[in-house]
Amino acid sequence: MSTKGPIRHLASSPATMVFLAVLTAGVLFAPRAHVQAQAAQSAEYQDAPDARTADQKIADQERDRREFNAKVSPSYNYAFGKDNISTPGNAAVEGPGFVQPGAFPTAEYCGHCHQEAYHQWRQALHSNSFRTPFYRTSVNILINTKGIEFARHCDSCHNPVAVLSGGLTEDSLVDRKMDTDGLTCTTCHSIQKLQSTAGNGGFIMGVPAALVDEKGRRIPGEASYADIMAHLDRHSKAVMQDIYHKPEFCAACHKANLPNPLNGYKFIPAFSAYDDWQNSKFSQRNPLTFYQADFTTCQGCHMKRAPNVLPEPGAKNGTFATHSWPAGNTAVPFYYGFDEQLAKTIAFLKAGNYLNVDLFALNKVDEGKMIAPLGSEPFSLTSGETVQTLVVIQNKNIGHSLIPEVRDLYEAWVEFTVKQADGKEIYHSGFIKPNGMLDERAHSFTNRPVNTGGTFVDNHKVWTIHSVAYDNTVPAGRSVLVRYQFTIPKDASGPLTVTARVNYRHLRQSYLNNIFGEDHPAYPIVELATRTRVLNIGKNDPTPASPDDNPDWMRWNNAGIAYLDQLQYIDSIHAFAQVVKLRPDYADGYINVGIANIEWEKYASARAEIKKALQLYPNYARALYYMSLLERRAGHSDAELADLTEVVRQFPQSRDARRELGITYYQRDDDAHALEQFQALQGIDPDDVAAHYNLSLLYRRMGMMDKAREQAALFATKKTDPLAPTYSLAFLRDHPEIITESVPWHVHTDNSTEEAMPPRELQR
Amino acid sequence: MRRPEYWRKRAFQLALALLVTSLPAACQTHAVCPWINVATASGVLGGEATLSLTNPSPTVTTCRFDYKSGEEVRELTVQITAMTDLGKDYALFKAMCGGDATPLRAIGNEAVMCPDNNPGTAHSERVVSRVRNSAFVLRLSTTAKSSPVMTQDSIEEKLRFVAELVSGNLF
Repeated sequence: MSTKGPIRHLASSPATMVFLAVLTAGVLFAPRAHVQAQAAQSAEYQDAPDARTADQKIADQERDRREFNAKVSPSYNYAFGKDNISTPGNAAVEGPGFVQPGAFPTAEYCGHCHQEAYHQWRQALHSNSFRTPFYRTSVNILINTKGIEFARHCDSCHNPVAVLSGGLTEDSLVDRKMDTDGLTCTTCHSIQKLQSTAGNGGFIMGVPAALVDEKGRRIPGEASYADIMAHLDRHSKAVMQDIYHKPEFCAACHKANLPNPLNGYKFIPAFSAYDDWQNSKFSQRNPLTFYQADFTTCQGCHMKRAPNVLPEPGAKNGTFATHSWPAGNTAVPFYYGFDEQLAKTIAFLKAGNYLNVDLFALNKVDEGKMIAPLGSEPFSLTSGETVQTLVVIQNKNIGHSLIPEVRDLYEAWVEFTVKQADGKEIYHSGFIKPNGMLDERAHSFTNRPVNTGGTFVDNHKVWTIHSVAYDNTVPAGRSVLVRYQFTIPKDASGPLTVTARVNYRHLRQSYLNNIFGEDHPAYPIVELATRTRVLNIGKNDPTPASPDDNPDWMRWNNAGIAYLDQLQYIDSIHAFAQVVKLRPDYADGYINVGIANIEWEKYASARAEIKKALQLYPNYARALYYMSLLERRAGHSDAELADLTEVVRQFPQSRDARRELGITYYQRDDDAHALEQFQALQGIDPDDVAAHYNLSLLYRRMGMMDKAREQAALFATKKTDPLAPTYSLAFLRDHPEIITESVPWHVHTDNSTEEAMPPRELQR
Repeated sequence: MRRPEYWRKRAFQLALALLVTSLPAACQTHAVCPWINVATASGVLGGEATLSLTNPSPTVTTCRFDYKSGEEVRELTVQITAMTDLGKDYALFKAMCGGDATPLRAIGNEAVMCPDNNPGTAHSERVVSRVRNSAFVLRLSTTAKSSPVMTQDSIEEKLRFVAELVSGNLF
């Protein structure tokens, strides 16, 4: 049917075009109506049962959500595509578009019954995930320099309600009342699925519900307390999921990367507490750990059960899994005056035998003689001689690295002191200066991310990071060896007291200064672990071990691990050989000697040691893994395949075993099995570059070109930029005071000019 | 039936009339308060707020939100000042609260709350605070002696919430 008469003329006339243009301009420029976000909330949490049926509540919620979307969507900045409301983050919600913030029942609503949980949560980091100055300062810089849409990366975890309700856009129409509650009860307790373990908010949230109906359908929004009390099983089904107990749940936010949409550069891994755990002894998924332990999840340490003080329906047998999530953050409770949380945090940091500090050895520099392990060997000291103390710090029972996560902001370091009997200090490393800054020459477990100008990325401007000049964190289960050299004064009197301690401060002083200016109170410094020994000037007999000391075989083992990580293979082999001498029944001692030989490319020696371990424990996965590498080098492909197949059978979630078995199959031209292994590897770690690379090749061979291209692109963005080290070198050139920290083997001295001592110290 | 020329002429006249009447609205700058949006202020005031943004001096910006409900007028004012001499300038701000001030923990670098004593209002409270070198003064008031959403207690609670929001955006 054709348009005739006046209507047709109107549609095509210039006057109509002007009319429509004006109308549109009026709509665009007129002040916009804002959205009342709290529509779905009731302040009184009605005690009477809700008369509406589940169907009506579902329909009401869907209608409210449609209306909310119609108001919010037109002005939302879809900078990363119409379907990407949370990019550069990954937070997602079931259903179309945004979800109205009022759909999230408040913490007060939950706290009406769950009083203990509410009380703990209010002081915990999760409830304060957004509002703290420590977070806001850095995210505000992102907003002010790149735009608020980029903050969706951070807020996917720090304020998911704001992201998923469309609050992160210029001139937002959303009431930001949710800011003060950060991760409220109904953010975590509404998560229905996990996307993967890629992090950055890799969860899929459902529309919050306090009840499911008799068919198991989620009934959105608050339910009356009367309804909940009448259907506790249905309440539990609405707010609890099996995944909440798993480490992968924590991985959704305790793993992060800096993706290309954020930095306009490439994928850069940011932090990986989940990966750290997966590679630790506590996961029992990694056959290659130096020590073993009982299976413990993230929740096992950070959500320990304890008797509840306040009424708590979630408690079982009088205990409740803590919703304080104690960890390392002392800054937030200190700022807010949350004394209970601060005390819990400090107690947590000091408990658990997480670290072991061992004054392991003395190197008498002038004589070229090493006394180790200290306390077990007699020795003598004389005034005027120069000695080097070898301090071994073991990350003994932390399920992640020391320091985890935001290593550019958190600060852990070794404080080392040598004092005379009269209290006079001979040497002090790792002191705090009057201005609150840490001694630059301290051995710290931090890192130094840098930008393209080779400048330390202060203020957590993560989108400018292009390289890391050094990273001195200690992975879970490993050890580090720190050397302190000092000269005993000629007039020294009485015994010397030598102390090494590991301190922790949340946050680094320069970052605190960035936030508050320099006129802020001193933030807490917590001593995590310490060890003191008294050394006589003259004769020193062996001394009894202190209760917290590791046995001598373990002290040697930790020294061997530290030497291995410092690329001192001969000293590492020597240390591990002492382990074998003290514990001939300990298969790992032989394996460790074997590993050091593999690293040193002495394969025949390595094979002999690994064989000894396999004689003790014929099917020991750790030994089989390293033997498989030796078989590969020797061209014994069948033996290599058999060993790795057995390792994967015992440890199906081992990244290393899956990767190596994939390579074995690939080299045997068994593409189908190789594909299977690399796909499994990608399931364990979606960011594994070897998986991306090999899958791109395998898919191409199999004619799956789209998948091949996708994997090739992921490999290209995730592999290390070969130019990145130049930015690190530029930084190190400009910072001679800490350049030695980037060298695995280095010495801290009481002189301003630090001289490296010759290696092979245990051989003398 | 009228001729097409007639409709064209009428449409042009209508469009012209609309253009003229719409121009003020179209040209009006859309005001944005950088520290708290209209939706949030509306939540605080308990109704749809109107924002007026002023710059009394190059270093001072004021956002004033008001909401009228019958005879009652509720008002939220956010004033931000960039200080050049922290020690001297902030002392003057602190003096605005005097001895009646209640310290507020965890708002900016430091903060106090005190009665505003604003003539013409029934209940009124003030917060004086700073984030580094930015001082801010907040005022929340109602003209109604008994307003269900603006009691003295709720005004203090709401003002603390606004103070946290504003300081968060200033950090």
